[in-house]
Amino acid sequence: MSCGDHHDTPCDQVLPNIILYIDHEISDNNQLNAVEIHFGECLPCKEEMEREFAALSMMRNLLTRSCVEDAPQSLHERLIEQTEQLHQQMAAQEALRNTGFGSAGYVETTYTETTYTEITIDGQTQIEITREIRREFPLE
Amino acid sequence: MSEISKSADNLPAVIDREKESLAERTARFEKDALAFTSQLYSAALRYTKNSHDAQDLVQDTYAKAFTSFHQFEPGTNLKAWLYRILTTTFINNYRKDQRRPLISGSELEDWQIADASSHTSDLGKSAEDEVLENIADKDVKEALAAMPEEFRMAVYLSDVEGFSYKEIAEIMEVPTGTVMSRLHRGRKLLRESLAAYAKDRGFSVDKKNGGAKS
Repeated sequence: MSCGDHHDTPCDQVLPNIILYIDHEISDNNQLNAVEIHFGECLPCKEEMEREFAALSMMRNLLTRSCVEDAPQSLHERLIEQTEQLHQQMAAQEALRNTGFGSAGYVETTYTETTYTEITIDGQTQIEITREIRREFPLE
Repeated sequence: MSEISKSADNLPAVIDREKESLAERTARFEKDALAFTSQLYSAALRYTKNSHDAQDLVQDTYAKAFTSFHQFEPGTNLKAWLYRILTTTFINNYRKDQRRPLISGSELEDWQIADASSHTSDLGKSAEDEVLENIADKDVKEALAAMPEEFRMAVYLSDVEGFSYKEIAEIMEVPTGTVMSRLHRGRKLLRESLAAYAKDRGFSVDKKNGGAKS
């Protein structure tokens, strides 16, 4: 339970926190200080912490060495392609939205967007969008 | 005065999403988000356990990330945001046995009780550490793959990716206490399993002078 010596913070309050200490998850400064003071006073706890730290570091190195891999080149290419396709789709949706009720619900509300709709002589509708960006500066 | 100069200094780093065009956003996505492809792929391999599914999972993740990229707040943790999408997508769409019940709520108590107040922990024997270092990558992957999914994810996110408990809680959408429990038990399981591999391969603490069995 305890190393037998007296400490301001007893061993059985420090030991459960060793993993938190190693993981840098003790956010309370008083608690962190108390744990560090305890390690300075109590060799068994300090050694326990160092063993845990060594064991965890070893496992992390082992995992990182084994698990970090490069994505295949074909995946990189597919992702670029996919992004371009989604970009086109979103651009088309944006264009459609701007021909309707302006930019309602859309984030770019500070833009002034002007839409020109041209109808050709044979009656076919052609939509051309010109975006004019007139930014209004907020009075801040 | 100082406030003005302070905000002016901050200007270049701030991306105003309201004024960013789609083209600009796409460029930012390609530059910032796609940079994590290999990292996400590595994690996806550990999640799905095969390259084909891992590639599809990463592709799905980036499709979702792109279409909601306008919701991502620039300057916050992009890597954690992507991992959250990856993890949610995996859980919802790729998990083989989706109806498998999650680990019960009693796991928190287990964590609190587990080797909490003794100096004689069975973890962290230095002789054993030396032995474990000899384990092949393949064995490490197998040991991870054999672990229950929740433990595997928690260990991977913490010990490979270096996410904090809070970040892992957000990525896995569970309370921080649950993360602690899964991480603690996951590490313990993995360690035991690696020790067993080491024994099978002929490395053992007893024979550490001789190393591998001939």
